[in-house]
Amino acid sequence: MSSSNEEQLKYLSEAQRKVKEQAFYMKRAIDANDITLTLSLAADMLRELKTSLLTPRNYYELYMRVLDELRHVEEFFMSLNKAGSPMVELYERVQHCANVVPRLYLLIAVGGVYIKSGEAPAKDILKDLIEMVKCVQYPTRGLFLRNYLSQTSRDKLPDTGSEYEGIGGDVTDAYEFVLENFKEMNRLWVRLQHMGGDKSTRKKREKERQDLKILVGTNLVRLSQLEGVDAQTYKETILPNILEQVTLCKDTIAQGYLMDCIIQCYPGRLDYVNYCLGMCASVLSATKTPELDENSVIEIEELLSIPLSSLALQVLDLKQYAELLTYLPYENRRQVATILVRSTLFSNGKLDTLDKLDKLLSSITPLIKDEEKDGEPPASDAGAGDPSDEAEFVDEQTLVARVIHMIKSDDSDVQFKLFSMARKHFGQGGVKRIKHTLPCLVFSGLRLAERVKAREVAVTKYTSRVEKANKKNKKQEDEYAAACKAAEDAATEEEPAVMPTKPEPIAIPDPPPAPKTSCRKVFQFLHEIITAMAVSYPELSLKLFLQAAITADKCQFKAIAYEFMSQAFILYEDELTDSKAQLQALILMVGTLLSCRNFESDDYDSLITKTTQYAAKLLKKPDQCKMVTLCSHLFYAGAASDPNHYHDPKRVLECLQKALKIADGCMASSAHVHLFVEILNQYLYYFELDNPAIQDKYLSGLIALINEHIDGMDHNEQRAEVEVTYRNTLKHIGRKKKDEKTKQKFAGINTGA
Amino acid sequence: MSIFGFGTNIKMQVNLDTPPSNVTKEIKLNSTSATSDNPQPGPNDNIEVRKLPVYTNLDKCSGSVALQLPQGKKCEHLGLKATLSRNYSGSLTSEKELCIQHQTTEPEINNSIKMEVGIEDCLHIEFEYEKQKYSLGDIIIGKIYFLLVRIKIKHMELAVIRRESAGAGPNLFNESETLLKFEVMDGAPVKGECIPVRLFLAGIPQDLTPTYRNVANKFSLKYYINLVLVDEEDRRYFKQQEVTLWRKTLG
Repeated sequence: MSSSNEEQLKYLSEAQRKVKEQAFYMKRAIDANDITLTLSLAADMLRELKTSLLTPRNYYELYMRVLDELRHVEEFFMSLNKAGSPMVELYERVQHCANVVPRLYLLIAVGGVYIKSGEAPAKDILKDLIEMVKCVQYPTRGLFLRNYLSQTSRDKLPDTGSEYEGIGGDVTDAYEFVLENFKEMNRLWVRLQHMGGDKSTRKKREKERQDLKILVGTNLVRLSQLEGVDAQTYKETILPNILEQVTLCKDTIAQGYLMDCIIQCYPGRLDYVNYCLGMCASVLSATKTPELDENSVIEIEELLSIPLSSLALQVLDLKQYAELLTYLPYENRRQVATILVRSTLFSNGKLDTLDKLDKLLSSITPLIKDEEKDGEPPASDAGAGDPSDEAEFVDEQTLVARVIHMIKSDDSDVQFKLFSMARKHFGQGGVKRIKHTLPCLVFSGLRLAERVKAREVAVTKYTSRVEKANKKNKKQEDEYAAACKAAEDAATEEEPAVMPTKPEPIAIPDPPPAPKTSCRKVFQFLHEIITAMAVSYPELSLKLFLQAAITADKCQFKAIAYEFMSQAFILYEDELTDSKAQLQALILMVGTLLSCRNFESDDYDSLITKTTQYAAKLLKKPDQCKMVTLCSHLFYAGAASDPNHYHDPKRVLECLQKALKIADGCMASSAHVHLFVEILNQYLYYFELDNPAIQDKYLSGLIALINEHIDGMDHNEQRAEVEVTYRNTLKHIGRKKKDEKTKQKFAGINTGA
Repeated sequence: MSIFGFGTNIKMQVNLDTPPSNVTKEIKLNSTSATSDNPQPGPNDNIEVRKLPVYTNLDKCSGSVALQLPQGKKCEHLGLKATLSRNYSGSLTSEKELCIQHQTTEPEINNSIKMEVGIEDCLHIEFEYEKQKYSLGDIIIGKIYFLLVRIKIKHMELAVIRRESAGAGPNLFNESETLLKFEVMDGAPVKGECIPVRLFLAGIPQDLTPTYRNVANKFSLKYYINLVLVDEEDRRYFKQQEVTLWRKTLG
């Protein structure tokens, strides 16, 4: 049956033409109400379906065409019935046809109308039909014939609640019918594989089988649509039946496809899914060394991926899921793992138990660490992949990092344990992976630290509350006792004692549970992580140390904050060599120091001095100038009203003056003028803040200096830029001079205007 | 034809009473010049379809003869002689054709036909037909069970064959005719498959008659069912079984 595309089209169009022709005469016979002629012509038309020349796809085209025409015949039968013809006669008459394929199509057509007429119980007719269709054993023809049977019978099954229920049968008859059809169709479908031929025809057969698979799958859909089938029946009777067929047929294509169908028909039912996976796993484990070909691998991968969209994390509860996963090669496991993570994220899954997290992380090991890829040793960390691989890798690791955000427990102790577990897993990922995964863990850890701190604070508050309450209660009791005594003393024989009312004691609420994992411990945990990263990623670690310092400061842990800061500084000194990196790091360090409010003043002192020194040692002069200027703020941190403010006015001035000096030494053309203006703005800032060291004379002097230098500049873009900035500054001063409130203060600044 | 002036002027009409069965049958009749020596139909042959009354062998054939004489004439006759015959000519005759059907009752014993046949290492089947004796409007119901299938079967069919034999000894003459080829299965089954058979004898286009065995020691008419399996190379494997047909109803 190997014919070219052209030949196929030729056969197909020839067959379709004949069908059209017969159908034309047939319709005429129908109009003339001539039963004999109609049946004869219908048989002629249906005879075209006897062909063995067409591929399944083309046969399908022909089949659809014939079915279109067959509809007229069905309607004719219905009209005959309405006119009073007993169906049993027609049912017999069509069986006179001597060719089996036309005979059975006609029988099914009549059968459908027969059931509808109600002249015989539906189950009897269905039973007869399913028995008679056995006569077509040729796979393709048999499959299509049975498909016609399935289609025709679909709305005539004696399902619960249907009009055919009762005498016509019940849902058991319905599903037994569908199961039988399914069983036989599956057998025919598998038989196609073994229709012989060499390797090239085998490939073709497999493709043909793929084209036909939906015919088999439809039966499973039918079963899932039966109203009368409850979970019990499905689990105890139907599913085992189906799975038995799946196992018995010993065909990988069938098994893969059918498992897909089963799961798709009943989404979200965990026990079914587990059952199916279990069957699949047991099938595989039964074969000692399962040689999984490409198709089976793809099917298993799909099988494992399908339940994810509806079940997400719940698949981890399925024992067989993990087991089945192990049968797949590396690459496919990776795919499944990716889908698993994505669907969990999408469904807002919560990883709130150690067990869940462990299961998840174990399932996604291909994403977390390197493994042997099908016999090859694990890829080295230094693998220089091409850019697209790199991008893919980054995406993948970002996805993994997001897993950390799914770790949510109401109990901070549990959360800590979960983070520790995650740390262990991610630590195995190697240098390339930790860059993406560990920072996420650090940030989450910092949030946890704040949570734990809040708990600790609550405990402390509670303790003092309890003390107060106890004191008050004691006082109340004493007062009451005294009042009672006084009443008794005052009592006479005529006037008995009037006892005071007993006061209600103040209720003492239950204590909040103290966290078992202290805040300090969390910081230790984070310290370890950041240190571990420092070797390979010093800049990143520096940033993380700074971040941690801020959080530690917020939690009132001065010593820990200082420790983090010093670690950051050490990294700066030892590891940062690139001037750009230094500049950026330095800016962050200044910002961090300004955010922290709780350092001991000695500690703060040494830190800011160190920072300023770093600033002065930067390679490029303009950078030095800018940074030293910035550092001046370290010496004037916080508003005057702030109890923790650090004000050293003189050092501020020193910084600014040093900056000026550096700026002066800038050789780059007119860069220094720009710097001067910037420094002037800084002076202005401190002046407005009433920094005692910054006096108006300094401003006046600087303005004069700038004026001088500007005149000496070439007329170019740079000058224009500087002039704009400068003019704005002068305008600002001008406004201040005019304003009633600041007139006096700014009077002393000579702008030379 | 008249010798003495009679005959041509008298018209005779025979009317047969309706037979007890009250059944008629349409028969195609040839008025043919064909003889046993020259059985080919000639150019002047007509084929007509006539409805004939049906009698069984137990029926009485009754009727009336009406003579129409010309005005004033008398006719003396010695009596009527009614002869049942074929191909009778001479005297004043009027021919009326009848149809005779042999009706019997349900056979008392009617066992099934069940047999296992096959070819070593190639094909083994067990077939079963529900009955050995079938009425003419009956259904041949059975099944074919495949015990061993090592050939590539293309399809399977049942043929209904009628065999007439006439004469005896050196004059024995046999004639076989396949009345119907009924396809029972399309494609190749596997071992263990059981294919149902349901053949409606009423669907056979030709008239069926009951089985006749040795009528007048000269004439037999027998029916056979031939189960044929055809393989991909058009080789045919068959098994023939005689079935007995009997007439249940007239018509």
